[in-house]
Amino acid sequence: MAKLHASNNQVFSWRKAWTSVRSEYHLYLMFLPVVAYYAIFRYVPMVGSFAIGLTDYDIFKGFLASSFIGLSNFKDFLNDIYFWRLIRNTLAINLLNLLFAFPAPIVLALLLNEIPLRRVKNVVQTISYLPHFVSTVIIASMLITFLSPSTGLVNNLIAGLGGQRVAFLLRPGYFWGIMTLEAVWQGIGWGAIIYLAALTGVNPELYEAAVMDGSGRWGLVWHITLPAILPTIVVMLLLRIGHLLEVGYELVILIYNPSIYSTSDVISSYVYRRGILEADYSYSTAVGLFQSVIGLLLVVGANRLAKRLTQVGIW
Amino acid sequence: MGGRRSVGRTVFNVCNAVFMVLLCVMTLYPFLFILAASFSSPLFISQGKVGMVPLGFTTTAYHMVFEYPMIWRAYFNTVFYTLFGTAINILLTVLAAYPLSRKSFLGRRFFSLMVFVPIVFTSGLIPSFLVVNGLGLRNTVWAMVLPGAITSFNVILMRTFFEEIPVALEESARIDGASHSAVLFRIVLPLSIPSIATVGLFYAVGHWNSFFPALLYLRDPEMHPIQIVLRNIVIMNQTEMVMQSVESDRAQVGETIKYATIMVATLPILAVYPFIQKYFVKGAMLGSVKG
Amino acid sequence: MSRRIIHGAAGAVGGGILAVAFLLALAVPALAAGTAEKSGGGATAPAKPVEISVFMPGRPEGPISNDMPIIKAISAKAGILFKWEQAPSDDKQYTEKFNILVASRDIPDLMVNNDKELLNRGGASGVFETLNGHLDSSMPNVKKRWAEKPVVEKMIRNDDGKIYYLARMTAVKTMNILIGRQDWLDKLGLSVPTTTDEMYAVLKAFKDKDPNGNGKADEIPFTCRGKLNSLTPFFEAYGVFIKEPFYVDGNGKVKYAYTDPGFKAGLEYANRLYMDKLIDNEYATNDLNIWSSRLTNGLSGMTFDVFVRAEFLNNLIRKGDPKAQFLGYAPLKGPDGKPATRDQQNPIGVGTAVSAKSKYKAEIARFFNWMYSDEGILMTNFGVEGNQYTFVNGQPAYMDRLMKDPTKTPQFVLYSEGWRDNWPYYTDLRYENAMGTELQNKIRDSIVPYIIPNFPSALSYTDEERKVITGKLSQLKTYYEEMANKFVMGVEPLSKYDEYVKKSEQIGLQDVLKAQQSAYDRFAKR
Repeated sequence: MAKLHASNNQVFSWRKAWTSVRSEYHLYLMFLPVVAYYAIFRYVPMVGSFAIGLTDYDIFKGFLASSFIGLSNFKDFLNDIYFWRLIRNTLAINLLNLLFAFPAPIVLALLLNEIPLRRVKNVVQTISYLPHFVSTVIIASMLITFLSPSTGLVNNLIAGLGGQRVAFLLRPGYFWGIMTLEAVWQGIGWGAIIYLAALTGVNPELYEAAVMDGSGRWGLVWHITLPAILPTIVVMLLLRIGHLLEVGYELVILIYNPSIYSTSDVISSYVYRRGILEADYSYSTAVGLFQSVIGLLLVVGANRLAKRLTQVGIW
Repeated sequence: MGGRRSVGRTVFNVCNAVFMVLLCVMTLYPFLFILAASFSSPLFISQGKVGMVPLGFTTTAYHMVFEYPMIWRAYFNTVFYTLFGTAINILLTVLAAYPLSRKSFLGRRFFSLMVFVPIVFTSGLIPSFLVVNGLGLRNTVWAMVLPGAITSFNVILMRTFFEEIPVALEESARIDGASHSAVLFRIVLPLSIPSIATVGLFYAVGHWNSFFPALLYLRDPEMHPIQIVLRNIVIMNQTEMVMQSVESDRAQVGETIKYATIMVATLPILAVYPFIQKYFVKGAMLGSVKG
Repeated sequence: MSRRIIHGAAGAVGGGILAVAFLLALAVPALAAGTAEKSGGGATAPAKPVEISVFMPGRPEGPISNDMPIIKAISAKAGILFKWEQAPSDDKQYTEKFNILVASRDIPDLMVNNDKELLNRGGASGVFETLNGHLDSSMPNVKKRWAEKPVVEKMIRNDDGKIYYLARMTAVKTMNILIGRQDWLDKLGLSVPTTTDEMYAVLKAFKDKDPNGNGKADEIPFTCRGKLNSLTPFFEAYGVFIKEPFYVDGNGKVKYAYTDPGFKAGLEYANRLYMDKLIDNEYATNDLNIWSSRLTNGLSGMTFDVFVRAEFLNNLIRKGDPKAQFLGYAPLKGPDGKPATRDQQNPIGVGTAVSAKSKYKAEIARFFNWMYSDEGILMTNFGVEGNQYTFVNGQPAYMDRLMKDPTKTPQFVLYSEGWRDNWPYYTDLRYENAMGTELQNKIRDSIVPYIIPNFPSALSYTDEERKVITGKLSQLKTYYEEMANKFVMGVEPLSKYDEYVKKSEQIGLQDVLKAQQSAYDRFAKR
């Protein structure tokens, strides 16, 4: 009998496996439709995407008449004169996002937790997630209006305080900050929902015991609350890392302009512009695959690290 | 010592309160602006004078929006897709998350990976469409509900929540001879109301805002959700798009209508959350683990 | 529950279609007798309407439906029941769905797209029907109109002589022009600027002499909302049209506009205007809201925009300032003294291709032919007589309920009643005359003499050429956009212009020009 070592270091045997499955067969039965779903609606199309990105597919030829061109699309992308700039901008925006927009909802959830009146807490929370529902088009319009050097609110404030007016959207140095602030604003309320849900699972008895042991408010947070929601935090972080090379083009193309391309042109906005010039399906799919592969590699590494440090991972 | 602690707490509470007020102002303002603009006259909007209060109060925009052909039918469709879709979503997500949360599930790591990979490798539009079309789902309700039936993000989220439930509960039930289905439905789910509410909310919002799938798959105007009817208006006017027909000056639709549309399309779903807030109750497991 | 709804919906739709079909079947014989007499050999309508599926861009006024009066009338005349494939009005989403439909091979009978090259590729690969035969056998009206305007057929015809789509023949010279506050000019005793120097003086006067009379030097003389492209007038004076990367010189050679010496001159001029704050320093980020705010608040007095905006601005601003007057102005003269503009519409609009698998090609051909008959032209341009328009002094004029609606523009009403400019029809100039006000028409006509043809938009490329162009052009364009803006804003000194030209060459400009040249040469021979 073949003996393979499983991840929990027990010796694996087919007979044991079969007994286990038989005794818990409900578990496997209920998972079947899930597998079917993923196979049909996720993995089959994924194969199609690879086919498009690695061949000279175009919509008229169809799959069968397309010929394999391998990594030719990727080579084009890598050789683009703007390639490194695009990578840098995309990564910078996402890393700043990770630094600020990721913890913000956690902090908010913790602070909301400290509000004694439940009514107030609920009201504040409801208001805080409204930005999530404001469409990108409106957000862009507002940003442009607020940041205008001549008539915008922000500059009026600055001038009122005696400062120099700044054309925020015309200087490359501000773009990353603007994107980060926007991400915090838009995601803080909606993101907090997840952590608030996680917080409901914390056993109040633990709090009582800690208080009796003389723990102060911060001690409670540090020793009870945070560890309790740590799995959620870690998982959310890992999920974010998978998208590290992706910044959505919608907001970017609405607020950027060529004079700040140096910091604002990201992979998706560049591909978008290229797509306007010529419908180049195969190329944009290939770039997407590139982003995905890198994202996956990053998560694999991060997952390993997370499991080592916190025993929590995605798999 | 007691005095010092309560001073610290008061300081904290005050700071917290200030922070919350600022937060509310910053997050509420755009919304109030949209609301005000939807009731304002176009001149004031174009002059940029509208702040949080309507200027030149008028309800014309709303009249025009509700005169759109089939808007009520579209509302009904959206509600239907949202309810029906979310029900399926929750069922499948639970069926996916529960086994993945059980350590005894063989292939757990493999299937977790299976669930995770689609988050990073999004399937292209053309292949997805070919699959849905090939299954003959086009122009049916199933096209709105099946392709997005499971969102991996939500599965992983729910799995994380399930893993927080003390194993002792499951073990004692299994010892008593309960099958996994019984454990799931009688023990785990009742303790997971907040996570079901969360995930359900995410799915519901996704359905409500869904636009492109409906655009692709639904042919009969009878089946359209409101986003199809209304989204067109909001996108216009803002970007100098490429179809360079110099003459097709698209701002034929007044600014006010744009804002009224947003209100009409978004308010209903916004109103959902306050109702489910009551499910986010602390200490749901109080009393369930004894000894 | 869901199945019941599906069946119910299907039943309702099916019933609806049957009802309409029944009514049409009754009405058609009566119409057939009438249409046969109209000139141009109009459609001899078949006994039963055929169902034709159509994919054309959506409109924000609302989704198209067979209940709309104009659609109903067209349906009846053509003997066609339209099945509308839902389409967004957003370009990117429309293109995505278009691509998906083609890829799935489940193609509606009629497919509309602005990318003529794409339609040609589709035709060449056999996905779209070749129309040459149909044109010769059943579309005499179309051929007659094409004969009147040869450039149309030249653009539509592919390099191999085949015709894979029809496109709307545009008649109106719609364009972007300089629009300014005539009342400010009058107030300051200035005449309309015709040269670059005069424009500079006018804008300087706007800035210094407080035409909005509020005692504050807050004027932003020239503003715009189209980013760099709105600075077109300042480049046109030097013979460069910055909206188009390529142009053809007098010897049939394709040249690149963005390394042209005229381009440098334009940059210098624009830069001067910018540094002296005569051009809105936020031109690169302005959107519609900021632009209209500047103009309606009396902050700005000059802009470059679609000519109908003069009227639009007048209507808005007069609610607060009744004496305000926006007028359109001719392009500026540069050192060579020849004012010209290329910023106008193409001879052809969007293209409509026919699916090669369509079962109703004959009916579609007849439908197209009908559109070019006198009756068809009237209906596609104006709508239904007595409903949208009537004849006044022998000329079609839109009814008051359209022209005088307090909240909707006439075009809005037309669109919401089923009028579409996506059909491949023949645009009658009278349409725009009827649609526009006298002022608008006057402005438009005054600019027409300056118009010169733009770079052909309907070139076809071989796979080789396309690869070169796609690969290099996006890099070239990005570089151009970034540098042009930097030059104008003074971020990059114009002394570095030669470096910019060299770098453009390095990116691969010559290869792109070569590809465009061969494509153009083939086009010229069509």
